[in-house]
Amino acid sequence: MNAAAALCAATVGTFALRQLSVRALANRELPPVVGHALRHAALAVMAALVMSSLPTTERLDLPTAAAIAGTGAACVIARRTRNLAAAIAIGLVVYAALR
Amino acid sequence: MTTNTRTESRPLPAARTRGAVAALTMLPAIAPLGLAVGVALADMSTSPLISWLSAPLMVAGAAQLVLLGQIDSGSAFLPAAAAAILLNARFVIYGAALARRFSTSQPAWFRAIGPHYIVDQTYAMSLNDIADSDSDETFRRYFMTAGTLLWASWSATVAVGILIGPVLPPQIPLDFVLPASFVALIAPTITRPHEVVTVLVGAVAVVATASSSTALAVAAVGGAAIGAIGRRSS
Repeated sequence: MNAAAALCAATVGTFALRQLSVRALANRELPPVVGHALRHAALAVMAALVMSSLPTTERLDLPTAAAIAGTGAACVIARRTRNLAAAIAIGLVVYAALR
Repeated sequence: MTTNTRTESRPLPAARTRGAVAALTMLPAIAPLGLAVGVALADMSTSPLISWLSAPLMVAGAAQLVLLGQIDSGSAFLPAAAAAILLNARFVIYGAALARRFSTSQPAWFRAIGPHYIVDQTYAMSLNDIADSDSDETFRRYFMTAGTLLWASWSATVAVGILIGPVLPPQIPLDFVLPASFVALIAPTITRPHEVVTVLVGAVAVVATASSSTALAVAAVGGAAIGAIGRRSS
């Protein structure tokens, strides 16, 4: 019951978040500087999501060497090939080999 | 809304094809992520049906894990929901960046349903694939096709993860799927020095702050500031 209520609340809240800025700004032309700022904000948020989801060491709560190596490998492959599957696969292999 | 410099709007029938191709290209990133989230959800005490419903209803892997993880650890429903909603606050930023494409010239059904498909992947795909010169109809066809396919893929792979989670060998590094997917998604879009700085700000925000929700807020503000400064100085 608790889980169902939480899911309902989170679903409604997430739906409202997605509608919020779309509805508020739909018919307004944003100044270029604002559009630029929003794109960079999204990029920084994605980077933060990566960082916060990396496996960390128990003592210092910093990413493990295997996680850093795997992230680096995925980054290099993604930039060179633009192939998502290859980037993820190589990143996982490097991480699995070193962890 | 886009970094694209193409000047001519592409033909409409191609928009759905492009959306489908973009979604299929994203599948290798979505499938392992959905699988990993499903496996993690299977490990929790909530019913499999509730766990799975979080996929089509929320379409937000990290928030799904936070929500059901909090419930699993005994939290009341409101704090658990609030934590998940806070984690999804980034959708406001994505929505603001895409808002021009959801103007009143679009049909009401699209303005009601379309935003449900705003996720990290569809935002990044739109940034890469839709040019300023593309019409609103082209965007609508592209976005609905890609969004529906990704939504269905996400729901299906989370279901598979919940089902097979208990029998998967522990050697599979599922804990690394999420960061690997996001890195693969954003790495090709980083081309300028101030974009590198933006990424570093996002990473440092996590190390410097106590909670992931605070980190996302700090990252958003820092990234926006760098974007604004970069625009003014270029």
